Amino acid sequence: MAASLSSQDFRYVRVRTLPDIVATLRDSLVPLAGGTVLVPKLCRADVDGPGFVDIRGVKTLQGISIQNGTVELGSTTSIAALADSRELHGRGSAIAEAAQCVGNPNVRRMGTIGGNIALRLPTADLIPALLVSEAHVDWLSADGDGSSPIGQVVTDGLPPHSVITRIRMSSAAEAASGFVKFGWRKASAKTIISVAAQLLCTDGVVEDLRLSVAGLSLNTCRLPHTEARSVGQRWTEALLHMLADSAANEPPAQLPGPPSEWYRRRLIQVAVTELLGRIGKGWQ
Amino acid sequence: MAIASERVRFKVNGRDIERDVAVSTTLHELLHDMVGCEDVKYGCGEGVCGACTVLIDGEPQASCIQLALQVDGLEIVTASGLQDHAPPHIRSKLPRLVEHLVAREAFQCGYCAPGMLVAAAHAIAGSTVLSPDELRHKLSGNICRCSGYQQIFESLIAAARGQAAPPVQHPRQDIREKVFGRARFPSDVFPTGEKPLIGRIVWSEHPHADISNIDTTGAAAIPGVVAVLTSQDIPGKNICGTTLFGADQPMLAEHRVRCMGDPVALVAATSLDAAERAVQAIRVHYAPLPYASNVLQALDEGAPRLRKKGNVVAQFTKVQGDVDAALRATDVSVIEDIYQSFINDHACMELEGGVGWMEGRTIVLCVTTLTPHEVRKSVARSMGVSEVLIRIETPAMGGSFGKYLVPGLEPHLALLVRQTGRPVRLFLSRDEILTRRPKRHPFWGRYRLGVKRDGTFTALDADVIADAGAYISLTPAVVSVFADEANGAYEIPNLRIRARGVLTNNPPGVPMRGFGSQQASFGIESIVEKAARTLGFDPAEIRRKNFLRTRLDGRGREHQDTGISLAKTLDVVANSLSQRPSAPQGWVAGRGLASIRAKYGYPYGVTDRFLARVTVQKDGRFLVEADIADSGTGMASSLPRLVARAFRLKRLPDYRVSQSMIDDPSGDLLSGRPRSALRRSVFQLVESLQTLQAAQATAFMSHLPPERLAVILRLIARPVNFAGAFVSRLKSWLFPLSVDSYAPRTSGSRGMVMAGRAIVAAVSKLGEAALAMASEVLNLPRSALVINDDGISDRDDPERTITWVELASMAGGQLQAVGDAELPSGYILSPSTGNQLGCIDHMYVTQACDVAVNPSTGEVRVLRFVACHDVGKVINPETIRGQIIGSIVMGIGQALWENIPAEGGRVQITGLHDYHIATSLDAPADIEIHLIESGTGFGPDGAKGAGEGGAVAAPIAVANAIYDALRVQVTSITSTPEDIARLTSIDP
Repeated sequence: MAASLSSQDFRYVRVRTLPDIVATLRDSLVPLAGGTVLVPKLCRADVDGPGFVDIRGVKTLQGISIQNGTVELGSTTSIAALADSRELHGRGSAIAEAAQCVGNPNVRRMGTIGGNIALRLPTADLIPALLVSEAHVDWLSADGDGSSPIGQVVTDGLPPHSVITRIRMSSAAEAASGFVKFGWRKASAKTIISVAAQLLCTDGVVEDLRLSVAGLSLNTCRLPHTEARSVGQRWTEALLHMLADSAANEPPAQLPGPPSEWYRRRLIQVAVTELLGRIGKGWQ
Repeated sequence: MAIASERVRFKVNGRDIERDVAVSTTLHELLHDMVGCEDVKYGCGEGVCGACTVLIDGEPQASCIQLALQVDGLEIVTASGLQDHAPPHIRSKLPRLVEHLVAREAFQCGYCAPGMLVAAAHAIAGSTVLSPDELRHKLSGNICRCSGYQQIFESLIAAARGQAAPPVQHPRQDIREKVFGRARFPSDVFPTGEKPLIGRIVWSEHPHADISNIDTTGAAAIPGVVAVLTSQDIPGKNICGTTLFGADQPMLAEHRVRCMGDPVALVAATSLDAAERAVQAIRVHYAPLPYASNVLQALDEGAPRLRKKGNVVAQFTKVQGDVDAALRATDVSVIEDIYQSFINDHACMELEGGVGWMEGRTIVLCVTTLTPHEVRKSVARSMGVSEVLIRIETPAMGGSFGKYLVPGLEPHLALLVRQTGRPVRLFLSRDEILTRRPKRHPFWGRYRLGVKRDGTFTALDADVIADAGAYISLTPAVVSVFADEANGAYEIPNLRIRARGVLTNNPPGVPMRGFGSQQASFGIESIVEKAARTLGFDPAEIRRKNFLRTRLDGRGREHQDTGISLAKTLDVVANSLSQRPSAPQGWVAGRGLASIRAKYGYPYGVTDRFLARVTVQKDGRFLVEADIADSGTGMASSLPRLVARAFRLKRLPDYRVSQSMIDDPSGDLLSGRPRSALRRSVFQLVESLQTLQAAQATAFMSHLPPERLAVILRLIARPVNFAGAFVSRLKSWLFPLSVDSYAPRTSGSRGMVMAGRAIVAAVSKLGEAALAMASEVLNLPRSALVINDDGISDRDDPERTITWVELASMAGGQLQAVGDAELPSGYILSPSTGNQLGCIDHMYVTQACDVAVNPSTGEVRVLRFVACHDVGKVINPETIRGQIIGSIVMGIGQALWENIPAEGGRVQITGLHDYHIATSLDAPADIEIHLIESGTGFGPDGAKGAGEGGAVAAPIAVANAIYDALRVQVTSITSTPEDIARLTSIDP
């Protein structure tokens, strides 16, 4: 472990192994990987904690693996790697599509999936995709390790002084998924609204639909009411529109600031229509 | 928080580097500020703009959003190291890429160029040739504010395909310097010797408030803090900004703040951290006051008065015929509406600020400015010293777009330098630039247009208002353009135009690309479009029917070419627009048109004189000098090209900003005359008399009805104009090499027009002198001589040549000539109508675009964009094309993306993540540019200005296309997707 200078200073510690991480977490250091959000925050003196622990050198936290129907994503896997991953495009396209919408190429090369989750920003594009994948977030803390459903991480956060090590989910090979984002522009865009969906039909009947929304001015969440209305229904154009209307009217918690609630709901409706229309094509 | 430091070891451009850095040091800071990689620029600090892009282990990444410590053990290559140190697959196509970028003049200010080059070289590396769309995606993390991207991607695509660069006789060498990061911008300047202090500003916390106390004791006690300064520390006058129309802007607020952009105190410290903590520690006690957040509110009886005489700071009128009678006529339909435009930010890629230091008693400031003389004056006034003790250096500019027409924070920098006696770097953050600094003037206009059954316009009644923000600044100049161009490109026999500038508590307004013209054109083109669609006319035909048939120049003389030129631009655009492209499913297609006339070479109603010097140096090389720093418009190459063309030179002359012209606007220094305090005083007196003429613009303010005011103005026009012309002539006689230091050196698309004419004059003089010398030496009549790259030759026997080196030697080491150009000036009132003049000529432009609009989301995609500009004369085709494309993309952005939410005088966005400049994915890919050479401009060979017309017409074309698609008019810009979605919806 790299030595740090002084305990009362804001420190930087680079680690290479998981046990090294544990030691630093006891000191309440903040995990740093890509730094695309934390570094600007540090420049604004807006970081809580006595320092950073740089976990990018921990090899076991890197990489994408798909084995026995489970997708495992190391927490320091870059967003660019997710966006470019052929395996994910085949099996978890919502995540790959969401990754392609993050920031811009320079940011995607630096940013990591762990950072995208840990910061829990309403505009973090990967979170809605992980929500519909019902991903589990494995974490390590000074008091041990554990795993939390992504939904719980979104609402309650991670345990104190912990670091994400891995994200796991079913490969859901038989389901179709996707992601749609509205931003003011096409790159480096803050997310006004994003919608992720995962759909599974059997013989043209909806077996499972998962929908999530995120964006400025709302809390990232699943839409359980709309999801429930789809189950057992034959997949038709009419159902799609009913679900889009339902999603638009299923109110996630509103945060202050633009856009207006009216516009937000409209975008949800359009996004759900577009997304379900695309991923549901093969089911009709 | 206290910050520890650690050692970092890495390799940059093949060099092993080892440094102790504070934990919070970003990689950009390490590279640029500590290692000397000045090619690694800084634009946003958010990873949005890409100016700081470097290769880290072969991958392009933003260096502003990672810590220096994160690259320990890694290998970094910056733009300047690409040729020698990038991986071979990235190096292989680099030379060809650079040749294309240079030949196609892909960059303008070039601040973004090194970062863009890194990303571009990586994008085309290897054997796979990506599609144009894929390349645009690859570079979408690198923002260029100037170019509109088109020439960048033409270069990339051609280089990726292995095509050779097009041949160019005199390529723009400054682009080669810029792409490799060798061009120096103010932020690249680190004075030798003592480490510079970091300057910071304490800003107002309220849009309008009285200050009861400023307590700096806590700040001054912070370790590392060297100076904490308030208005009490200003040795001279507490005034900043331009004083051309009024000296109402304090340098540091003393008793009252009038906007969030008012500086209240200054700090200098040995580190940014100490400076920031000092800013936080200064306690300012305010008593908030009511504020005016828009012009209509500010015009109310009960509105807070921002100055004793009321909130209207400029009023211009344009009156002819009988508007009321014309609008009452039975065969006339009256179309009316209200149109608005909101604030936009110049968003220059380089952060605003500068570096200053002392040289003996002289304060030296290295800053970005288009008005170095005004800056020097402003600084001297605040410091209470003679102007000769102030030196303004103007290196490369990382964008301007009109912002730097007005002196800015130079007095603040100077005060920190003077009071500490140490070098100081004062650069604002992007947050400060967006929330505190001046913006484009917002516009409000109410229009009534009378249209006969056959589509002829009969009358226009318009009340148009500019939001000046908190201070007068150049608002009268902007408002005069509102009045002058209120009837747009159209002949309307009956006019009643009232244009006003009104103070509010919003950010101060300053000129921005197409100032005045963009706002006025949006208003008139919108009402014309509404008339066409309401009354069932074809939008092109109603325009063509009513195009201006004559134009007035600055002396009120009538010219006949206007209508022809406008109709030609419309014809060219109409012919280029074939079938309408189809919109994607669920989207609606629309086509919009805009025909505009926009000022160029605007002299503010005062004399406008430019100088340029051409020198043959002792080695035979040519040097071109003027007092104009190149803000990216290409002056540094365009002016030398004029010389190269005239003398048939193979090598492009060098260009240098003449420090002697900047140091002494009277021209004494340039002419070698000893400096004299008496002559300096006389010069200042004469200029004061000249600026009084400009002040008349505000003196003409009145609450009289426009028609009665016009009568009075008509009566006083002749004596006023005579006095102005007399003073100008007196000045030219007393100071033959002087410039008009109160006027920005370049603004309103006049750099080429004015400096170009000065170059032509200098070339003529130099040629005459060289021919005379050669005639004597070769014993031949001048008619037997010819000028060429070698020197002067015998036309019949080219072997008999006297070289440029010999000519320079004969002239005592160098042969030089100074040329000048003067705009027809001193005529700001028309003796026949009493209307204010000012604009000497206009650009004529028609643009059209096809868009697809998603009515549900309000998203707009520009599918095709066609523009035709009468540029007078094409001197540098790629330069003009780049200027026009860049300004079109800026204009489209101002219509659709560049929204700045502001409430109660407070801007709500803080970074480029929120201020949506077009990325390479947003800008249209293939903007079609057609150029008409009417030869009627005031520039060399009849050239007109070209840099602004795109930004004036483009937002209108887009707005009209949305109108066409949705059948509902866009009445304000910037219109966000939500605004557009609301046009066809009812918010429940």
